[in-house]
Amino acid sequence: MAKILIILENAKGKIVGLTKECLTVVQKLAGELEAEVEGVILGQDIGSLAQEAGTYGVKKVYKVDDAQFSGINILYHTRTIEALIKETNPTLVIGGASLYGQELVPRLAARFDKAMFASVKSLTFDDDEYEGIHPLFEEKLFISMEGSAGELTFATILGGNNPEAEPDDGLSAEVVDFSPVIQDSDKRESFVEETIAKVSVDITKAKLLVSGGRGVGSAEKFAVITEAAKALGGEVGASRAAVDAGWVVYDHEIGQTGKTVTPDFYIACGISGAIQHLVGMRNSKTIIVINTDEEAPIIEMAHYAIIGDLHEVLPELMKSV
Amino acid sequence: MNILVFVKATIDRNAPLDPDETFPGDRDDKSDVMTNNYDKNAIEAALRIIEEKGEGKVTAVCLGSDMADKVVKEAIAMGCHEAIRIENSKAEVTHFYSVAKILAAAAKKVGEFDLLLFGMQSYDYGTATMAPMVSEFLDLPLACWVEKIAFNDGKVIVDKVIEGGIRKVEVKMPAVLSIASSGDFEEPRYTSVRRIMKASKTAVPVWEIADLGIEEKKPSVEFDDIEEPPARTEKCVIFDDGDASELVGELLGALKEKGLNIGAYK
Repeated sequence: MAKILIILENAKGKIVGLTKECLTVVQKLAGELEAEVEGVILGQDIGSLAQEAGTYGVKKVYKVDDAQFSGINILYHTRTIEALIKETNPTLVIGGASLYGQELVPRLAARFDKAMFASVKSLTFDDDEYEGIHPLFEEKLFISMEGSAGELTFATILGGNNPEAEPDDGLSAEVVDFSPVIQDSDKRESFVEETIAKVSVDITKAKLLVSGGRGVGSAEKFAVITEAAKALGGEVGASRAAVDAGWVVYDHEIGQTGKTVTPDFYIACGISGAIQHLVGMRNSKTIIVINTDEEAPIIEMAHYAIIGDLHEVLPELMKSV
Repeated sequence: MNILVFVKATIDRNAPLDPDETFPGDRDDKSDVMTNNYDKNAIEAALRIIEEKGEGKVTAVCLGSDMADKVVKEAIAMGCHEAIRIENSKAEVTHFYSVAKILAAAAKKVGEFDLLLFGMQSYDYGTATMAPMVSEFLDLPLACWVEKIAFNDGKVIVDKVIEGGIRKVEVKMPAVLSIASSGDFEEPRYTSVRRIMKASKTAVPVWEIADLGIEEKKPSVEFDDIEEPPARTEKCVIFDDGDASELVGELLGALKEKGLNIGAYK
């Protein structure tokens, strides 16, 4: 029987959202390929996450639960998953195109001397072939990729293109311990430490977001974004530039290194629209831009744009709504 | 300290896009071609390392047709000491798997290096596969999305971007790094017309793929048709005439007309 191996990325004691998006893709493919879904999870004290994966239709979870995996060393992950692939012979290995997956999966593919479905928004199966769609030129064009389903295949799935799979408490996985495989030469890479912002607000469920970027100007001036979000009954969003500047905490970041959001209203203030931000909000239902620059790239995907100073426009908006 | 930095020629951001002409070799007009902007962050990182060490050499390596000459010259004008162009005359090798094999073989031919630097992705195909694949083909350690670099006793210690934070990792040299467009190398240096003029007089050796001793192999996943996304049926409605209260009034009027209630969540 054909087997799909999904890499169960986890951070801060949770299976990440993108992995759940991948599980949606995997469930569909498993039906079409009549394949069994297996997963691999690596980390420390991850027993409950391995169990949780079962509720998403993963039949067997290989758990690498070891102190050497408490911090992520991508080379250890590569070596251990390589060994697992050799032992269990999956036909398809799939992971999220997160910063982790984009580093790990191409390494794995290269180890088996394979090309891969790199950062595809969809992966489907038809007539013994896989087809994936990959964006070019910051999503101005799309290219299809094809590969035979008859040989070992690797893929990474881009975030924000598939809904997260829903858990089914009636399902469970067989959890199997898999020992770490680490060679001396793998110690050429070593984990030192990491700092991750604590997340206390979940903006992904908000129906309305008022989001601020570099154009807001300063930490003090960012208050107008917070006020407007409150007045309109929404949450605060931000571009990476505003978070890096320290005007707002990471919980609010939208884009490649932050959250993916799809609210009813997305009000982008002082955000020019680097692709890294756009991928996190482009599927919002109504996008309103407030910007002094009529050439700002974000206007291309907006529904409405006010060309003006956000510090004048937002107070008016609060007053008028 | 010897650093190789890999640079790619892509279609310029301001040039018209054509699904049949996605590679510089497909074009006739040099103004349609630019240096992949993320590679400039990698060049910046390479130059800073050499400046801080006070010794060493940066060599730019570019796989491309003669349309890529301006990219090679720009790398030199920015401060790279040397450059090599690998001839890819008819844009014949474009697949990232095959390109990674060529770049790995080119690094091997150069022989002596401490670091191989890449931009974090390309503007055109954007698969971000180059640094990881080359590191594997050469069996070298790797760190991607690097924002900050320090050295200690034959090792490079980097801060790399992760979702919501920074991870510090240590890798033994020689190593492969992909440089983030944020952090220490966010603002690549500008060059000048004078420097570009001077760079254009620098001789750049041109290597042939055939001389790199690569075993040809068809990629297991291939590229097929290119399509434009479905055209948006409605264009952005722009309000740019009037004071703030007039502009907001126009916006609210337009929303109301569409049956959209922005006040529904108060």
